[in-house]
Amino acid sequence: MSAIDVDLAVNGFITGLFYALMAVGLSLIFGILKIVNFAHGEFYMVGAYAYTLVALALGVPVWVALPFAFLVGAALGWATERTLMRPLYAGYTSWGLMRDEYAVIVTFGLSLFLINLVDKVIGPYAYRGPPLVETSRVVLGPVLISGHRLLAAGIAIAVILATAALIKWSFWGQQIRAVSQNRLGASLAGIDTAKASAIVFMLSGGLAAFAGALLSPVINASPDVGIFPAVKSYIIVVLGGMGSVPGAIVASLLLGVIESFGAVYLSYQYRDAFGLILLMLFLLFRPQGLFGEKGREV
Amino acid sequence: MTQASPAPAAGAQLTTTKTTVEFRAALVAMAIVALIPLGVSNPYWLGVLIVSMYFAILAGGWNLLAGYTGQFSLAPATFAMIGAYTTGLLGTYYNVPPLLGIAAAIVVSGLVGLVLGRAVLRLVGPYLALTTLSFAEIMRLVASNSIDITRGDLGLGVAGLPIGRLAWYYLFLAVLVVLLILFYLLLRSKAGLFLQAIRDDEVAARRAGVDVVFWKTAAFTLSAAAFATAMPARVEPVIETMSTSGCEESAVPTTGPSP
Repeated sequence: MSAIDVDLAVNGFITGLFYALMAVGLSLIFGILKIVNFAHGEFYMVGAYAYTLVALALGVPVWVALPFAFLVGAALGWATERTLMRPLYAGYTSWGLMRDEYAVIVTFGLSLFLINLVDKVIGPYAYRGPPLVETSRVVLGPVLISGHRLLAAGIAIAVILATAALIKWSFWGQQIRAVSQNRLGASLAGIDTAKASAIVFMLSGGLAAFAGALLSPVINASPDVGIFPAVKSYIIVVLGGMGSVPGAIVASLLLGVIESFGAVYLSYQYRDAFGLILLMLFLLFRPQGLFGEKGREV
Repeated sequence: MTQASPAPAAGAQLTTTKTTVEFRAALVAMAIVALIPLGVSNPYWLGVLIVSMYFAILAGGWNLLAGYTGQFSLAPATFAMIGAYTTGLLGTYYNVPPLLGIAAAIVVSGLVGLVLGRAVLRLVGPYLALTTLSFAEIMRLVASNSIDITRGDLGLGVAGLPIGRLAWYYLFLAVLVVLLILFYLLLRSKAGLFLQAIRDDEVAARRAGVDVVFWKTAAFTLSAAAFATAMPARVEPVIETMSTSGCEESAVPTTGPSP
Protein backbone atom coordinates (compact mmCIF):
# COMPACT_ATOMS: atom_id res chain seq x y z
CA MET A 1 0.00 0.00 0.00
CA SER A 2 1.35 3.32 -0.98
CA ALA A 3 1.01 6.45 1.11
CA ILE A 4 -2.05 7.62 -0.78
CA ASP A 5 -3.81 4.34 -0.13
CA VAL A 6 -3.26 4.70 3.61
CA ASP A 7 -4.60 8.23 3.43
CA LEU A 8 -7.65 7.08 1.48
CA ALA A 9 -8.32 4.22 3.87
CA VAL A 10 -8.11 6.42 6.96
CA ASN A 11 -10.27 9.17 5.48
CA GLY A 12 -12.79 6.65 4.20
CA PHE A 13 -12.89 5.07 7.64
CA ILE A 14 -13.62 8.46 9.21
CA THR A 15 -16.40 9.15 6.70
CA GLY A 16 -17.74 5.73 7.59
CA LEU A 17 -17.89 6.73 11.26
CA PHE A 18 -20.23 9.61 10.43
CA TYR A 19 -22.34 7.29 8.28
CA ALA A 20 -22.55 4.95 11.24
CA LEU A 21 -24.01 7.67 13.46
CA MET A 22 -26.84 8.00 10.96
CA ALA A 23 -27.29 4.36 10.11
CA VAL A 24 -27.45 2.95 13.64
CA GLY A 25 -30.58 4.97 14.43
CA LEU A 26 -32.24 4.03 11.17
CA SER A 27 -31.44 0.39 11.77
CA LEU A 28 -32.91 0.51 15.29
CA ILE A 29 -36.13 2.03 13.95
CA PHE A 30 -36.36 -0.69 11.34
CA GLY A 31 -35.76 -3.30 14.01
CA ILE A 32 -38.51 -2.09 16.28
CA LEU A 33 -41.23 -0.93 13.87
CA LYS A 34 -40.19 -2.72 10.64
CA ILE A 35 -40.40 0.50 8.69
CA VAL A 36 -37.90 2.72 6.92
CA ASN A 37 -37.91 6.29 8.19
CA PHE A 38 -37.64 8.40 5.04
CA ALA A 39 -37.40 11.56 7.15
CA HIS A 40 -34.12 10.44 8.71
CA GLY A 41 -32.07 12.92 6.70
CA GLU A 42 -34.18 15.75 8.04
CA PHE A 43 -33.22 14.82 11.61
CA TYR A 44 -29.65 15.28 10.41
CA MET A 45 -30.54 18.62 8.80
CA VAL A 46 -32.28 19.87 11.95
CA GLY A 47 -29.24 18.92 14.02
CA ALA A 48 -26.91 20.78 11.68
CA TYR A 49 -29.09 23.89 11.95
CA ALA A 50 -29.53 23.60 15.71
CA TYR A 51 -25.76 23.46 16.23
CA THR A 52 -24.90 26.14 13.68
CA LEU A 53 -27.56 28.68 14.59
CA VAL A 54 -27.14 28.35 18.34
CA ALA A 55 -23.38 28.67 18.06
CA LEU A 56 -23.39 31.53 15.54
CA ALA A 57 -26.45 33.57 16.53
CA LEU A 58 -26.37 33.15 20.30
CA GLY A 59 -22.62 32.77 20.65
CA VAL A 60 -22.97 29.60 22.70
CA PRO A 61 -19.71 27.62 22.99
CA VAL A 62 -19.49 24.71 20.56
CA TRP A 63 -19.21 22.19 23.40
CA VAL A 64 -22.66 23.27 24.60
CA ALA A 65 -24.13 23.55 21.09
CA LEU A 66 -23.13 19.96 20.24
CA PRO A 67 -25.17 18.24 22.98
CA PHE A 68 -27.92 20.79 22.34
CA ALA A 69 -28.18 19.54 18.74
CA PHE A 70 -28.52 15.99 20.10
CA LEU A 71 -31.35 17.10 22.37
CA VAL A 72 -33.18 18.90 19.56
CA GLY A 73 -32.92 15.80 17.37
CA ALA A 74 -34.13 13.61 20.23
CA ALA A 75 -37.10 15.93 20.83
CA LEU A 76 -38.00 15.83 17.14
CA GLY A 77 -37.69 12.05 17.12
CA TRP A 78 -39.93 11.80 20.15
CA ALA A 79 -42.55 14.09 18.64
CA THR A 80 -42.47 12.13 15.38
CA GLU A 81 -42.98 8.86 17.19
CA ARG A 82 -45.82 10.18 19.35
CA THR A 83 -47.75 11.79 16.54
CA LEU A 84 -47.01 9.97 13.29
CA MET A 85 -45.85 6.49 14.27
CA ARG A 86 -48.59 5.61 16.72
CA PRO A 87 -51.05 4.37 14.07
CA LEU A 88 -48.49 1.69 13.19
CA TYR A 89 -49.06 -0.15 16.43
CA ALA A 90 -51.94 1.52 18.23
CA GLY A 91 -54.23 -1.30 17.18
CA TYR A 92 -56.31 0.08 14.35
CA THR A 93 -56.76 -3.06 12.31
CA SER A 94 -57.14 -1.32 8.99
CA TRP A 95 -53.85 0.49 9.54
CA GLY A 96 -52.03 -2.72 10.34
CA LEU A 97 -52.67 -4.05 6.85
CA MET A 98 -51.36 -0.92 5.19
CA ARG A 99 -48.33 -0.49 7.41
CA ASP A 100 -45.71 -0.28 4.67
CA GLU A 101 -47.76 2.14 2.63
CA TYR A 102 -48.57 4.30 5.61
CA ALA A 103 -44.96 4.44 6.77
CA VAL A 104 -43.57 5.31 3.35
CA ILE A 105 -46.13 8.05 2.77
CA VAL A 106 -46.07 9.61 6.20
CA THR A 107 -42.29 9.71 6.58
CA PHE A 108 -41.84 11.00 3.04
CA GLY A 109 -44.41 13.67 3.77
CA LEU A 110 -42.60 14.63 6.95
CA SER A 111 -39.33 14.83 5.05
CA LEU A 112 -40.73 17.20 2.40
CA PHE A 113 -42.54 19.20 5.06
CA LEU A 114 -39.41 19.75 7.15
CA ILE A 115 -37.27 20.64 4.12
CA ASN A 116 -39.76 23.21 2.91
CA LEU A 117 -40.46 24.52 6.40
CA VAL A 118 -36.78 25.23 7.01
CA ASP A 119 -36.51 26.65 3.50
CA LYS A 120 -39.25 29.16 4.28
CA VAL A 121 -38.46 29.93 7.92
CA ILE A 122 -34.66 30.04 7.91
CA GLY A 123 -34.07 30.49 4.20
CA PRO A 124 -32.29 28.54 1.48
CA TYR A 125 -28.83 29.89 2.34
CA ALA A 126 -26.14 27.55 3.60
CA TYR A 127 -24.63 28.23 7.02
CA ARG A 128 -21.18 26.98 7.89
CA GLY A 129 -21.00 25.63 11.41
CA PRO A 130 -18.09 26.69 13.61
CA PRO A 131 -15.39 24.00 13.82
CA LEU A 132 -14.58 22.42 17.17
CA VAL A 133 -10.91 23.32 16.87
CA GLU A 134 -9.26 25.80 14.56
CA THR A 135 -6.28 23.60 13.62
CA SER A 136 -6.57 23.34 9.87
CA ARG A 137 -4.22 20.44 9.28
CA VAL A 138 -2.78 17.57 11.26
CA VAL A 139 -0.13 15.32 9.74
CA LEU A 140 -0.05 11.74 10.99
CA GLY A 141 2.57 9.91 8.94
CA PRO A 142 1.12 9.67 5.42
CA VAL A 143 -2.31 10.88 6.54
CA LEU A 144 -3.34 14.49 6.18
CA ILE A 145 -6.45 15.54 8.05
CA SER A 146 -8.10 18.65 9.47
CA GLY A 147 -8.13 19.09 13.22
CA HIS A 148 -11.91 19.31 13.36
CA ARG A 149 -12.36 16.12 11.37
CA LEU A 150 -9.95 14.22 13.59
CA LEU A 151 -11.63 15.41 16.77
CA ALA A 152 -15.11 14.79 15.34
CA ALA A 153 -14.03 11.26 14.39
CA GLY A 154 -12.90 10.64 17.97
CA ILE A 155 -16.22 11.90 19.32
CA ALA A 156 -18.10 9.77 16.79
CA ILE A 157 -16.24 6.65 17.91
CA ALA A 158 -17.08 7.40 21.54
CA VAL A 159 -20.76 8.00 20.76
CA ILE A 160 -21.06 4.87 18.62
CA LEU A 161 -19.44 2.73 21.32
CA ALA A 162 -21.69 4.29 23.97
CA THR A 163 -24.77 3.60 21.84
CA ALA A 164 -23.72 0.02 21.20
CA ALA A 165 -23.12 -0.49 24.92
CA LEU A 166 -26.49 1.07 25.71
CA ILE A 167 -28.27 -1.31 23.34
CA LYS A 168 -26.28 -4.31 24.53
CA TRP A 169 -26.22 -3.94 28.30
CA SER A 170 -28.62 -1.32 29.59
CA PHE A 171 -32.11 -2.19 30.78
CA TRP A 172 -33.68 0.01 28.10
CA GLY A 173 -31.46 -1.55 25.48
CA GLN A 174 -32.56 -5.02 26.48
CA GLN A 175 -36.19 -3.92 26.25
CA ILE A 176 -35.58 -2.49 22.79
CA ARG A 177 -33.96 -5.69 21.60
CA ALA A 178 -36.78 -7.74 23.06
CA VAL A 179 -39.39 -5.66 21.22
CA SER A 180 -37.51 -5.89 17.94
CA GLN A 181 -37.31 -9.67 18.28
CA ASN A 182 -40.97 -10.15 19.01
CA ARG A 183 -43.32 -7.30 19.68
CA LEU A 184 -46.19 -9.38 21.01
CA GLY A 185 -43.94 -11.56 23.14
CA ALA A 186 -42.26 -8.52 24.63
CA SER A 187 -45.56 -6.90 25.50
CA LEU A 188 -46.74 -10.14 27.11
CA ALA A 189 -43.58 -10.11 29.22
CA GLY A 190 -44.57 -6.69 30.54
CA ILE A 191 -42.43 -4.47 28.36
CA ASP A 192 -43.98 -1.14 27.43
CA THR A 193 -43.58 -1.39 23.64
CA ALA A 194 -44.78 2.19 23.06
CA LYS A 195 -42.09 3.46 25.40
CA ALA A 196 -39.46 1.33 23.69
CA SER A 197 -40.48 2.82 20.34
CA ALA A 198 -40.29 6.32 21.77
CA ILE A 199 -36.80 5.68 23.15
CA VAL A 200 -35.64 4.31 19.81
CA PHE A 201 -36.93 7.34 17.95
CA MET A 202 -35.33 9.72 20.44
CA LEU A 203 -32.01 7.92 20.17
CA SER A 204 -32.25 7.77 16.40
CA GLY A 205 -33.19 11.44 16.01
CA GLY A 206 -30.53 12.47 18.49
CA LEU A 207 -27.77 10.50 16.75
CA ALA A 208 -28.71 11.80 13.30
CA ALA A 209 -28.83 15.37 14.60
CA PHE A 210 -25.47 14.83 16.29
CA ALA A 211 -23.98 13.67 13.00
CA GLY A 212 -25.41 16.77 11.33
CA ALA A 213 -23.86 18.99 13.98
CA LEU A 214 -20.46 17.28 13.77
CA LEU A 215 -20.37 17.60 9.99
CA SER A 216 -21.81 21.13 9.72
CA PRO A 217 -18.35 22.77 9.50
CA VAL A 218 -17.55 20.42 6.57
CA ILE A 219 -20.93 20.17 4.85
CA ASN A 220 -22.76 23.45 5.42
CA ALA A 221 -26.24 23.38 6.90
CA SER A 222 -28.89 23.97 4.23
CA PRO A 223 -32.50 22.76 3.90
CA ASP A 224 -31.67 19.80 1.68
CA VAL A 225 -28.37 18.85 3.33
CA GLY A 226 -29.93 15.73 4.85
CA ILE A 227 -30.84 14.02 1.59
CA PHE A 228 -27.50 12.44 0.80
CA PRO A 229 -26.61 11.32 4.33
CA ALA A 230 -30.05 9.71 4.45
CA VAL A 231 -29.59 7.92 1.15
CA LYS A 232 -26.23 6.67 2.44
CA SER A 233 -27.81 5.33 5.57
CA TYR A 234 -30.52 3.51 3.58
CA ILE A 235 -27.75 1.83 1.64
CA ILE A 236 -25.97 0.94 4.86
CA VAL A 237 -28.91 -0.60 6.66
CA VAL A 238 -29.56 -2.83 3.68
CA LEU A 239 -25.89 -3.81 3.30
CA GLY A 240 -25.61 -4.52 7.00
CA GLY A 241 -28.93 -6.28 7.28
CA MET A 242 -32.08 -4.42 8.23
CA GLY A 243 -32.32 -4.00 11.98
CA SER A 244 -28.80 -5.19 12.82
CA VAL A 245 -26.73 -2.64 14.76
CA PRO A 246 -23.31 -4.34 14.35
CA GLY A 247 -24.16 -4.82 10.67
CA ALA A 248 -24.92 -1.13 10.31
CA ILE A 249 -21.59 -0.15 11.86
CA VAL A 250 -19.53 -2.56 9.74
CA ALA A 251 -21.39 -1.58 6.56
CA SER A 252 -20.90 2.13 7.30
CA LEU A 253 -17.15 1.75 7.58
CA LEU A 254 -17.09 -0.45 4.49
CA LEU A 255 -19.08 2.06 2.44
CA GLY A 256 -16.90 4.94 3.60
CA VAL A 257 -13.75 3.13 2.49
CA ILE A 258 -15.28 1.91 -0.81
CA GLU A 259 -16.38 5.44 -1.71
CA SER A 260 -13.04 6.87 -0.74
CA PHE A 261 -11.13 4.49 -3.01
CA GLY A 262 -13.75 4.54 -5.76
CA ALA A 263 -13.70 8.33 -5.98
CA VAL A 264 -9.99 8.27 -6.70
CA TYR A 265 -9.53 5.09 -8.71
CA LEU A 266 -12.85 4.82 -10.58
CA SER A 267 -14.77 8.05 -10.98
CA TYR A 268 -15.14 11.13 -8.85
CA GLN A 269 -18.46 12.25 -10.36
CA TYR A 270 -20.06 8.90 -9.72
CA ARG A 271 -18.75 8.37 -6.18
CA ASP A 272 -22.30 8.58 -4.82
CA ALA A 273 -23.49 5.93 -7.26
CA PHE A 274 -21.23 3.08 -6.01
CA GLY A 275 -23.23 2.66 -2.85
CA LEU A 276 -26.52 2.84 -4.73
CA ILE A 277 -25.39 0.14 -7.13
CA LEU A 278 -24.30 -2.01 -4.18
CA LEU A 279 -27.70 -1.37 -2.60
CA MET A 280 -29.58 -2.57 -5.66
CA LEU A 281 -27.38 -5.64 -6.01
CA PHE A 282 -27.84 -6.55 -2.35
CA LEU A 283 -31.60 -6.01 -2.49
CA LEU A 284 -31.89 -8.20 -5.54
CA PHE A 285 -29.53 -11.01 -4.56
CA ARG A 286 -28.99 -10.90 -0.80
CA PRO A 287 -31.85 -8.93 0.76
CA GLN A 288 -30.98 -10.09 4.26
CA GLY A 289 -27.71 -8.12 4.05
CA LEU A 290 -24.38 -9.04 5.58
CA PHE A 291 -25.58 -9.69 9.11
CA GLY A 292 -29.35 -9.88 8.87
CA GLU A 293 -31.41 -12.98 9.24
CA LYS A 294 -33.27 -14.28 6.27
CA GLY A 295 -36.90 -13.30 6.47
CA ARG A 296 -39.69 -15.55 5.37
CA GLU A 297 -43.02 -14.69 3.86
CA VAL A 298 -45.93 -16.93 4.70
CA MET B 1 -81.43 -21.08 -6.87
CA THR B 2 -83.88 -18.55 -8.17
CA GLN B 3 -81.36 -15.87 -7.19
CA ALA B 4 -78.59 -17.52 -9.16
CA SER B 5 -79.04 -15.81 -12.49
CA PRO B 6 -79.69 -12.19 -11.44
CA ALA B 7 -77.07 -12.16 -8.67
CA PRO B 8 -73.88 -11.98 -10.78
CA ALA B 9 -75.51 -9.45 -13.05
CA ALA B 10 -76.27 -7.24 -10.05
CA GLY B 11 -72.72 -7.61 -8.80
CA ALA B 12 -71.26 -6.77 -12.18
CA GLN B 13 -73.62 -3.84 -12.45
CA LEU B 14 -72.40 -2.47 -9.11
CA THR B 15 -68.67 -2.50 -9.93
CA THR B 16 -69.21 -1.18 -13.45
CA THR B 17 -71.33 1.63 -12.13
CA LYS B 18 -68.77 2.77 -9.57
CA THR B 19 -65.86 2.94 -12.01
CA THR B 20 -68.04 4.38 -14.73
CA VAL B 21 -69.49 7.10 -12.52
CA GLU B 22 -65.98 8.15 -11.55
CA PHE B 23 -64.89 8.05 -15.16
CA ARG B 24 -67.80 10.22 -16.24
CA ALA B 25 -67.11 12.67 -13.43
CA ALA B 26 -63.49 12.84 -14.57
CA LEU B 27 -64.57 13.51 -18.16
CA VAL B 28 -66.86 16.32 -17.00
CA ALA B 29 -63.98 17.76 -14.99
CA MET B 30 -61.75 17.56 -18.07
CA ALA B 31 -64.40 19.35 -20.12
CA ILE B 32 -64.45 22.15 -17.56
CA VAL B 33 -60.66 22.28 -17.60
CA ALA B 34 -60.79 22.52 -21.40
CA LEU B 35 -63.05 25.58 -21.14
CA ILE B 36 -60.97 27.41 -18.53
CA PRO B 37 -58.63 29.20 -21.01
CA LEU B 38 -61.71 30.93 -22.49
CA GLY B 39 -62.06 32.91 -19.27
CA VAL B 40 -58.55 32.85 -17.85
CA SER B 41 -55.71 34.27 -19.87
CA ASN B 42 -53.27 34.98 -17.05
CA PRO B 43 -50.17 32.95 -18.00
CA TYR B 44 -49.35 32.31 -14.36
CA TRP B 45 -52.62 30.53 -13.68
CA LEU B 46 -52.38 28.60 -16.94
CA GLY B 47 -48.92 27.54 -15.81
CA VAL B 48 -50.31 26.36 -12.49
CA LEU B 49 -52.93 24.30 -14.30
CA ILE B 50 -50.31 22.83 -16.64
CA VAL B 51 -48.26 21.70 -13.65
CA SER B 52 -51.43 20.30 -12.10
CA MET B 53 -52.04 18.25 -15.22
CA TYR B 54 -48.43 17.05 -15.12
CA PHE B 55 -49.09 15.84 -11.59
CA ALA B 56 -52.36 14.27 -12.69
CA ILE B 57 -50.55 12.25 -15.36
CA LEU B 58 -47.98 11.02 -12.82
CA ALA B 59 -50.76 10.31 -10.33
CA GLY B 60 -52.66 8.28 -12.89
CA GLY B 61 -49.65 6.12 -13.67
CA TRP B 62 -48.75 5.76 -10.02
CA ASN B 63 -52.30 4.78 -9.18
CA LEU B 64 -52.09 1.93 -11.66
CA LEU B 65 -48.86 0.73 -10.06
CA ALA B 66 -49.37 1.33 -6.34
CA GLY B 67 -53.12 1.66 -6.13
CA TYR B 68 -53.92 -1.41 -8.17
CA THR B 69 -51.00 -3.78 -7.62
CA GLY B 70 -49.65 -2.41 -4.36
CA GLN B 71 -46.11 -1.85 -5.67
CA PHE B 72 -44.83 1.25 -3.93
CA SER B 73 -42.35 2.62 -6.43
CA LEU B 74 -40.53 5.84 -5.62
CA ALA B 75 -39.29 6.28 -9.18
CA PRO B 76 -42.25 7.67 -11.18
CA ALA B 77 -40.55 10.99 -11.94
CA THR B 78 -37.49 9.04 -13.11
CA PHE B 79 -39.52 7.48 -15.88
CA ALA B 80 -40.84 10.91 -16.80
CA MET B 81 -37.20 11.97 -16.95
CA ILE B 82 -36.17 8.97 -19.07
CA GLY B 83 -38.99 9.79 -21.45
CA ALA B 84 -38.03 13.44 -21.57
CA TYR B 85 -34.39 12.64 -22.32
CA THR B 86 -35.36 10.14 -25.01
CA THR B 87 -37.30 12.81 -26.85
CA GLY B 88 -34.73 15.49 -26.15
CA LEU B 89 -31.70 13.45 -27.19
CA LEU B 90 -33.34 12.05 -30.32
CA GLY B 91 -34.38 15.58 -31.32
CA THR B 92 -30.99 17.11 -30.58
CA TYR B 93 -28.73 14.52 -32.19
CA TYR B 94 -30.87 12.90 -34.87
CA ASN B 95 -33.41 15.63 -35.66
CA VAL B 96 -36.28 13.30 -34.87
CA PRO B 97 -39.55 15.24 -34.85
CA PRO B 98 -40.96 15.62 -31.32
CA LEU B 99 -44.14 13.63 -31.90
CA LEU B 100 -42.11 10.64 -33.07
CA GLY B 101 -39.75 11.35 -30.17
CA ILE B 102 -42.61 11.15 -27.69
CA ALA B 103 -43.68 7.82 -29.15
CA ALA B 104 -40.09 6.61 -28.79
CA ALA B 105 -40.04 7.96 -25.22
CA ILE B 106 -43.09 5.90 -24.32
CA VAL B 107 -41.47 2.76 -25.73
CA VAL B 108 -38.07 3.34 -24.10
CA SER B 109 -39.55 4.23 -20.73
CA GLY B 110 -41.83 1.22 -20.93
CA LEU B 111 -38.87 -1.05 -21.68
CA VAL B 112 -36.87 0.32 -18.74
CA GLY B 113 -39.98 -0.17 -16.62
CA LEU B 114 -40.21 -3.76 -17.87
CA VAL B 115 -36.63 -4.50 -16.83
CA LEU B 116 -36.93 -2.77 -13.45
CA GLY B 117 -40.37 -4.24 -12.78
CA ARG B 118 -39.07 -7.71 -13.58
CA ALA B 119 -36.06 -7.21 -11.29
CA VAL B 120 -38.00 -5.99 -8.26
CA LEU B 121 -40.79 -8.51 -8.56
CA ARG B 122 -40.10 -10.20 -5.24
CA LEU B 123 -39.45 -7.06 -3.22
CA VAL B 124 -42.19 -5.66 -1.01
CA GLY B 125 -42.74 -2.64 1.21
CA PRO B 126 -39.61 -0.83 2.35
CA TYR B 127 -37.30 -2.98 0.21
CA LEU B 128 -39.15 -2.02 -2.97
CA ALA B 129 -39.21 1.62 -1.90
CA LEU B 130 -35.45 1.61 -1.29
CA THR B 131 -34.58 -0.16 -4.55
CA THR B 132 -36.66 2.20 -6.66
CA LEU B 133 -35.34 5.18 -4.72
CA SER B 134 -31.76 4.15 -5.44
CA PHE B 135 -32.64 3.53 -9.09
CA ALA B 136 -34.03 7.08 -9.22
CA GLU B 137 -30.90 8.51 -7.62
CA ILE B 138 -28.57 6.60 -9.96
CA MET B 139 -30.52 7.81 -12.98
CA ARG B 140 -30.40 11.38 -11.70
CA LEU B 141 -26.63 11.12 -11.18
CA VAL B 142 -26.14 9.65 -14.64
CA ALA B 143 -28.25 12.38 -16.26
CA SER B 144 -26.62 15.27 -14.47
CA ASN B 145 -23.06 13.91 -14.78
CA SER B 146 -23.08 12.95 -18.47
CA ILE B 147 -22.54 16.58 -19.34
CA ASP B 148 -21.14 15.93 -22.85
CA ILE B 149 -24.37 14.23 -23.87
CA THR B 150 -27.15 15.66 -21.74
CA ARG B 151 -25.72 19.11 -21.00
CA GLY B 152 -26.03 18.18 -17.30
CA ASP B 153 -28.07 20.50 -15.15
CA LEU B 154 -28.52 22.98 -18.01
CA GLY B 155 -31.14 20.75 -19.55
CA LEU B 156 -31.96 20.01 -23.15
CA GLY B 157 -34.27 21.95 -25.40
CA VAL B 158 -36.70 20.08 -27.59
CA ALA B 159 -37.05 21.81 -30.94
CA GLY B 160 -40.34 21.76 -32.74
CA LEU B 161 -42.60 21.49 -29.70
CA PRO B 162 -45.42 24.02 -29.51
CA ILE B 163 -44.52 27.37 -28.05
CA GLY B 164 -46.82 29.35 -25.80
CA ARG B 165 -48.81 28.53 -22.73
CA LEU B 166 -52.08 27.81 -24.49
CA ALA B 167 -50.58 25.20 -26.83
CA TRP B 168 -48.90 23.47 -23.89
CA TYR B 169 -52.14 23.61 -21.98
CA TYR B 170 -54.08 21.71 -24.64
CA LEU B 171 -51.20 19.31 -25.28
CA PHE B 172 -51.23 18.30 -21.64
CA LEU B 173 -55.01 18.11 -21.57
CA ALA B 174 -55.04 15.85 -24.62
CA VAL B 175 -52.44 13.53 -23.09
CA LEU B 176 -54.38 13.44 -19.83
CA VAL B 177 -57.71 12.65 -21.50
CA VAL B 178 -56.20 9.90 -23.63
CA LEU B 179 -54.55 8.36 -20.56
CA LEU B 180 -57.80 8.62 -18.63
CA ILE B 181 -59.69 6.74 -21.33
CA LEU B 182 -56.98 4.07 -21.61
CA PHE B 183 -56.85 3.57 -17.84
CA TYR B 184 -60.63 3.32 -17.72
CA LEU B 185 -60.73 0.69 -20.45
CA LEU B 186 -57.89 -1.27 -18.80
CA LEU B 187 -59.27 -1.17 -15.28
CA ARG B 188 -62.83 -1.92 -16.32
CA SER B 189 -61.65 -5.05 -18.07
CA LYS B 190 -60.64 -8.29 -16.39
CA ALA B 191 -57.09 -6.98 -16.10
CA GLY B 192 -58.30 -4.43 -13.54
CA LEU B 193 -59.68 -7.24 -11.40
CA PHE B 194 -56.42 -9.20 -11.68
CA LEU B 195 -54.43 -6.18 -10.56
CA GLN B 196 -56.68 -5.53 -7.57
CA ALA B 197 -56.57 -9.19 -6.61
CA ILE B 198 -52.76 -9.03 -6.56
CA ARG B 199 -52.82 -5.96 -4.34
CA ASP B 200 -55.28 -7.47 -1.87
CA ASP B 201 -53.55 -10.83 -1.53
CA GLU B 202 -50.83 -11.96 -3.86
CA VAL B 203 -50.80 -15.56 -2.69
CA ALA B 204 -54.57 -15.90 -2.96
CA ALA B 205 -54.51 -14.29 -6.40
CA ARG B 206 -51.91 -16.78 -7.60
CA ARG B 207 -53.95 -19.59 -6.12
CA ALA B 208 -56.97 -18.37 -8.04
CA GLY B 209 -55.04 -18.57 -11.29
CA VAL B 210 -53.91 -14.98 -11.79
CA ASP B 211 -50.55 -14.79 -13.54
CA VAL B 212 -48.99 -12.64 -10.82
CA VAL B 213 -45.58 -12.29 -12.48
CA PHE B 214 -47.10 -11.19 -15.77
CA TRP B 215 -49.54 -8.68 -14.32
CA LYS B 216 -47.14 -7.12 -11.83
CA THR B 217 -44.56 -6.64 -14.58
CA ALA B 218 -47.25 -5.38 -16.92
CA ALA B 219 -48.39 -2.80 -14.38
CA PHE B 220 -44.80 -1.62 -13.93
CA THR B 221 -44.27 -1.39 -17.69
CA LEU B 222 -47.54 0.38 -18.41
CA SER B 223 -47.13 2.86 -15.58
CA ALA B 224 -43.58 3.61 -16.75
CA ALA B 225 -44.92 4.24 -20.25
CA ALA B 226 -47.64 6.46 -18.77
CA PHE B 227 -45.07 8.46 -16.78
CA ALA B 228 -43.19 9.05 -20.02
CA THR B 229 -46.17 10.87 -21.47
CA ALA B 230 -45.67 13.53 -18.81
CA MET B 231 -42.49 14.19 -20.75
CA PRO B 232 -42.87 17.62 -22.30
CA ALA B 233 -43.11 19.06 -18.79
CA ARG B 234 -39.46 19.57 -18.07
CA VAL B 235 -36.41 18.41 -19.92
CA GLU B 236 -33.90 18.59 -17.12
CA PRO B 237 -32.67 16.14 -14.51
CA VAL B 238 -35.11 17.35 -11.88
CA ILE B 239 -36.40 14.21 -10.33
CA GLU B 240 -36.98 14.87 -6.75
CA THR B 241 -38.16 11.78 -4.99
CA MET B 242 -41.87 11.41 -4.99
CA SER B 243 -44.18 11.93 -2.12
CA THR B 244 -47.36 10.02 -2.28
CA SER B 245 -50.70 10.26 -0.64
CA GLY B 246 -53.83 8.25 -0.79
CA CYS B 247 -53.87 4.71 -1.92
CA GLU B 248 -56.57 3.40 -4.14
CA GLU B 249 -58.45 5.91 -6.19
CA SER B 250 -56.76 9.09 -5.11
CA ALA B 251 -53.05 8.39 -5.26
CA VAL B 252 -51.42 11.75 -5.80
CA PRO B 253 -47.65 11.78 -6.25
CA THR B 254 -46.12 15.21 -6.34
CA THR B 255 -42.61 16.06 -7.29
CA GLY B 256 -41.00 17.68 -4.33
CA PRO B 257 -40.11 21.24 -5.15
CA SER B 258 -36.38 21.79 -5.07
CA PRO B 259 -35.72 23.86 -2.01
